[in-house]
Formats: sequence, C-alpha cells, structure tokens
Amino acid sequence: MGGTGREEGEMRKANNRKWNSEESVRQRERVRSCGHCSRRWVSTGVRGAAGGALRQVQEPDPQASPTPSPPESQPSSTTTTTATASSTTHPFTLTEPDLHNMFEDIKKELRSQFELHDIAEYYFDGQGKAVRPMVTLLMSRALNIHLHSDNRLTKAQREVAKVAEMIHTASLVHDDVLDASDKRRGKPSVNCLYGQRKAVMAGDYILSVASTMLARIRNEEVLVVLSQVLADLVQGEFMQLGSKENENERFAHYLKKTFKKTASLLAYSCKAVAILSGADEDIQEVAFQYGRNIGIAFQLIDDRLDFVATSSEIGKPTGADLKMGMATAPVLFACEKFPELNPMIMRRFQEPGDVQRALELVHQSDGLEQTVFLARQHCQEAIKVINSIKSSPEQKALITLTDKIMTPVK
Amino acid sequence: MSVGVLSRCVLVVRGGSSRWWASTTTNVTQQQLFQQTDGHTPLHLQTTPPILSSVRRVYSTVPQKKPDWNRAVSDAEKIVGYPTSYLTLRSLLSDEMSNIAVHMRKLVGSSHPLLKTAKRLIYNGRTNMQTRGLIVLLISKAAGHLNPEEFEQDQPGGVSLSQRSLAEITEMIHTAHLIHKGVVNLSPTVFDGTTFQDMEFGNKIAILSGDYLLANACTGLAALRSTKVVELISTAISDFMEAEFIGERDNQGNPILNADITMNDWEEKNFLAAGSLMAKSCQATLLLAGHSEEMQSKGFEFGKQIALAWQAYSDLQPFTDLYRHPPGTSIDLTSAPVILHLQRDKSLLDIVAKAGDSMENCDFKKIHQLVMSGHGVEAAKDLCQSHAQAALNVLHEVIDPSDARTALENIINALRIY
Repeated sequence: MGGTGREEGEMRKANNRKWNSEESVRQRERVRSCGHCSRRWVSTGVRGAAGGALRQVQEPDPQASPTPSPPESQPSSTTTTTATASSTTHPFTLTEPDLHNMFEDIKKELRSQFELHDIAEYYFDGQGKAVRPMVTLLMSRALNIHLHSDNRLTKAQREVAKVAEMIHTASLVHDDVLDASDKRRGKPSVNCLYGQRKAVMAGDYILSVASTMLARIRNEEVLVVLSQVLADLVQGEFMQLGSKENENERFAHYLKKTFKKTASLLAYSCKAVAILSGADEDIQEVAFQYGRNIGIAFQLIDDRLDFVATSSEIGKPTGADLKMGMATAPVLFACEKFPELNPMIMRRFQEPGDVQRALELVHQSDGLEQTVFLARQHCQEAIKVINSIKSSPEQKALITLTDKIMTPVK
Repeated sequence: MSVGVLSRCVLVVRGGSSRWWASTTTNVTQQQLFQQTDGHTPLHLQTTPPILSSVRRVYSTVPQKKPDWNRAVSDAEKIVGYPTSYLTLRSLLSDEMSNIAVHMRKLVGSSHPLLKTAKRLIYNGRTNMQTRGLIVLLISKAAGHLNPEEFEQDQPGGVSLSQRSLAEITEMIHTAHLIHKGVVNLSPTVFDGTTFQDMEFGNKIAILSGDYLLANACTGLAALRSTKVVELISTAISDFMEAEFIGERDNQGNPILNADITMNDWEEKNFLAAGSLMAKSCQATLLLAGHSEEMQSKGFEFGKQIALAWQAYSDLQPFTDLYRHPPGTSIDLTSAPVILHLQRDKSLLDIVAKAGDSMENCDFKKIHQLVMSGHGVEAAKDLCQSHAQAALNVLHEVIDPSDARTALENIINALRIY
C-alpha cells in the first residue's frame, strides 16, 4: 500500500482544545508533506500527455443528484447519542439536507461584479456529485457524536465542506485546460465557453476565495492542513508528467500520485473537521486514514473503469487514460505478466497501435481483478479505522460509502 | 541557505535543465543570475555573494542626490540583509521547477508569452519584479518589531523570519499571476498547426508553474500562523483576478479603450492589479510585527500609493524610454497617458476601432505619435508625482528616520524623475 501520508503522524503533544473554540495552538509543528524523496522524472513527451488531472471521480450512485429527497432522512438536529443504524445510513440521503444549500452558499461567496462571477460559479450548479463535501460532513457529524454526543455541525466544519468542494472545482477548471477537455458533466467546459485565459483566472479566483473562507475560520491548524492539499495537487500533476524508469518504483509512484491527486483532499478535509471537532491526535489520524483509503479506492475503481466502460456509461471513451499516456493500476499489474508493456509505458503509448495492444493485454491479464482487489483492501482499511469510533447513523454511512465505491465492480 | 542547497542551485543553473535561459537570452551566466544585471549598478555592489551578504553589515544609506532606480534598489537590498532576488531561487531549486525548466526548453523559438515572463524573471531590469518583496522587507525594518519574543533568533537585516517569508510569498504570488496572465486563448483559426501545438504546450507549462507557485505561497502563508495575514493575502489574490475582468477586453484579454473611460477606472483597475497586493502585504507585515491597527492601515496606504506611483511610472515608459520601447511596439491602451490623452482627443477611438477584435492589430505608432504630441504624458507625470508624494507623506508621518526609511525614500524618488 501506498503509505504516503502515513509518516505525517509524526506527532505533537496532545492538546486540550476547547470544543468549538476558535482558539488554536500556536507554534505547533507543521504537517510534513508526504514523500519528499528525491525523484528523477523521465521526461517522456509531455506534449499531449500532461493530463488526466483529478477527473471527477466517478461516483456510482445515481441518487446523488441534489433533487429534494425525503425529509425523514434528515438527521435530527437535536442530541442523538446512540442512534441505532436504520435505513437512514445511506450516505447521500443522510447528507442531502446539508448539501442542499451548499452550492447556493458557495455561489454567494464567489461574489464578483464582473463576468468572473459567472465563470467561477459555472460548475457549482448542483450537478456534481459533491462526494468531498459529503464525506467531510459525514465525518464531522460522526466525530461530533463520538466526542460530544452531539451530531450538530459547527459552522467551521460546514465551511471546510464548502472549501473542499471549491478546491476540487478549482482543480477541475485548471485540469480541463491542461487536458484540453471541452466537456464536463455533460456541458461545455469553462475553457470551451470562455477561453483558456479566463478559465485559468477563474480557477485561481475560486481558490483564493476558498482560502479566504478558510482563513476566516480562524484556526491556524486547519489552514496548515488544507494548504497541504494544494501542494499535493500540483505535485500530483507533476508526477503525472513523467513515469518511473525503474519498474519496481513505478507502482509506488502511481500510488503516491493517486494519493496526491485524489486522496489528499479527502484525507486532509477529514482531518481538518476532526481538528475542528476537538479530536486528539489519534482520532485525527482515524479521520485522515479513512479519507486517504477511500480516496485511493475511489481512484483505483475509476482507473479500472477506463478499461471496461463503454463510452456511454461514463461519458469518456475506453482507454482515455492510455491515450493521454497515463499508465494506471490495471496496466501496471498487467505488466507483470506481459513485460512487453514496459516499453509502451515508457513511450506513453504514443506509437500507433499501442493503446489498442495495451487494452488487449490488460484484459488478458488479471490486472483488472488485482486492481479491484487492491481497492477492496483500501476499503477494508477504511472500515477498520472508522469502526474505532462510536456507532452512529453517520458512522454507518461512512461504512456504507465504501460499498458504494465498489458498486461498479459488482 | 546551506552549502548543499547552494551546490544544487549551481547544478540547476548550470545544468542542462536550465539551458532554456541561456538559449533564449544571449549569455546569461550563473554569476549574472545572482546579480542585478543591467549595466547601471556599480560593479562593486554587484559582486556580493548571496550567502555572505546575509551577514549583517552597517551601510550608511544617504539620500541620493541624483535619483536612480537601480542604485536605490541595490542599496536597499543591503539594508535588509540579502537581496530579495535570491528568495525565489528556493522555489527554482525544487524538482517541480527543474521539471518545468526541462519542458520549457521545448518552447524556445515559439512566441508563447511565458518565455517573455521567464526572461524577465532572470533579467532584473528597470521594471524589477523582485522589488515588491524588497519594499515589504524595508517597511518591516523601518517600522520595527513590537513582539520581542518572536524576534529573538538570528534576524539578519532586522527583519523577522516570518516577515521575510511574507516578502517571498508576495513575490511568488505576483510572479504566479504574471505567469497565468500569459496563458493564451487557443483558437485553431488564429494559430496554425505547429503554432497551435506550441501555444497549447506553453499554456500547460504556464498553468502548472503558476499553480506550483500559488500552492507554495499558500503553504508558506499557513506556516506564518496568522489567519488574519492569510485572509489579507488571499483577498489580494482575488483582487488580481478581478482586475483581469474589469473593463472591456479583446479576444486575448488585452484591455480595449472605450469612450467613457476615466482616471477613476484607471485607479480602480490598478488598485486591484497592483495596489492591493502591495498594500495588503505592507499591512500584513506590520500585523506580524505586532503594530496597531491604525499603523497597519498606514502600511496599507503606503503600499497602495507606492504601487500606484510605480504603475504610473511604468505606464510612462513607452513614451519616455524610446530606446527600450521604440514607437510602434504595443502600448497598454488603458495606461495613464493614453486615457489622459483621450480626455481631450477622441480620435484615438477611431484607431482602436480599426483594430477589430484583436488589439495586437492596433496602429501603435500612430497612437504613440498622438499621445506624445498631446498633454497626456505631462498629466501622467503629475499623476506619478502625486502618488509618490502621498507615499512619502505616509512614510514621514509614521516612520522614524532610519537607513530603511531612507532606502524607501530613494526608491520612491527614483519613481519621481519626471
């Protein structure tokens, strides 16, 4: 397993932070970013290859669209200590009331008197699956119950959920320019409508507004934790530019990239709301590891989809990653049985017939099964850590979520 | 910087990964990279090695009789310990930046704006881009530090480590913005096959390197452990973006001149595009030093005024420095002299109208001629003077005389040569 972000548990003294207090402890050690090992990139043609960036991770559940859902799924806003698992442990219905107004709130934050406003709010139309805020909100309530027997969200936790979605969206906007995609969530991409230049500016704008919102939480620790996500996202993008020459390092490189590009945002958002709920180091680590593991599982399943889905199913053609020169888990696993894939990986599938041949070889190998197996392992790990906190509808929903991630393979 | 870092730095600068600098410029050597190179700065001031210069020295800064920008800047750099131009070297040393350097070589020969920005980063010419950080350092030193416990360790140049970091972040954010501003709108109808590919690739590198600097700025800001500072600087980044959308633009984002534009528009836009970051950085550094809110707002005002004076100065360059800006080179159509000229001579609008949807096609020679013959240049000089004077007034009002204050005065006076 990746192990990235693990070492970040290097620790600080336990601190009694006040519940819901805004004061935070100064001069605590900075979170060390994971994996500053020396790297050498093989610079095989970036041209046309740099992409793939944090694609909207395929969220399998169709119910996620924010059409009003039955009100009975709303978690009671009064103190619910030992709520037993009921039918309301569905992650989407459980967070629906919280998510319902979120996009409107985000649009309000992106106030600008210019066209910038229209561009910036373009993707906050409620059509996204809002996976990141959903996980963040579930984690917040689950931890609030665990620590305070009160599932109410704090304002700051709600802000973190918004910021998570905004960071995600800002990275999508930039990624679409990088990958020259002209479609996103079934509508023209920002760069397609407004041009590359404005798209880049809008991405920066969303990020700066998110950063301002985060600063207004007035918790230094949370700022440190979430600024690490930005560094990870860029590093992940850079990692995608090159592949490792050494076959043994390649998989570790892939997992690290996956952490940085997908899991980091989930892991650190979970950690941030844990900090805000007053959790100690151990519980913060539980939150972080849950986010990290489902993030990696998420991406593994998404990478697998690239080899099996038809274009109608996920809206992108089979082998899209390969065409962009990216070697994901299924190919890397297939490599063990078919070493002839190695040179193709190194040349980023740029020669005629490479993509087709790689697709065939992956299907002849057990690469897809192994990818699923690895994703399942990460889900197991996520369940294991989240089982260490008190049971609640939200905690159950976090477990249910791992099932949802694996749905496409069932 | 440790010796290890320095040797890596030499590697990066000398190694193949940086050859794009050498090949785009005539002969940039490693030595020159460490210097303010433009031929104006006296040689004895140029040769201070970056590492040694962090040792505190006593420089007596005297008010300059003959104002000179480069002299003012290079004197000022010594007052704050070491020059800001080395600050961004730290980010140049990372894997990501060497990666960018490798890829940027492929852009050599293309006309992507990123190359021009990169060149300007290396050549610190008259429009020295690192001066923003320097001003933050100088105001920090001039105002002094009120948190003695934060100020205990080794503080070369009388500036605390977090203030130094803030100055570096100011530079990074500004540079990131310049780089992102250089992203071009791709349209197959404008560019042919290979040019299109070059431009697309250049955009990719520009986005990544800008994002890299912004992400680093954010982690650096968070490490300052002041949510108020993070809030200030984050809103300054938002202001940059707003500035890009204010007013009418052509298909590449170049501002278009229209009949109703006034100097209020100029000030509003340039506050967002230049003043905000400078103002908020100056405010933030005083906040870090524990100064009162009143003092912080003076810092804000100072930063704003010096930035606007500087902007007016830059706007004047195409009309006063004909060696660097021969008539016919492109002019910002919303620069102060042009707007001021327009107030009395509407014929400019006809020239702009002829250019169609790309301002690149403007008859800049004609515009230059018209503006030069009118009152716009003189009026812009007055504008520059008044903002410079406002900056000086704030300085004299709240800062006691010191080396650092004199250095700031020298920089301001160098902007008032007209």
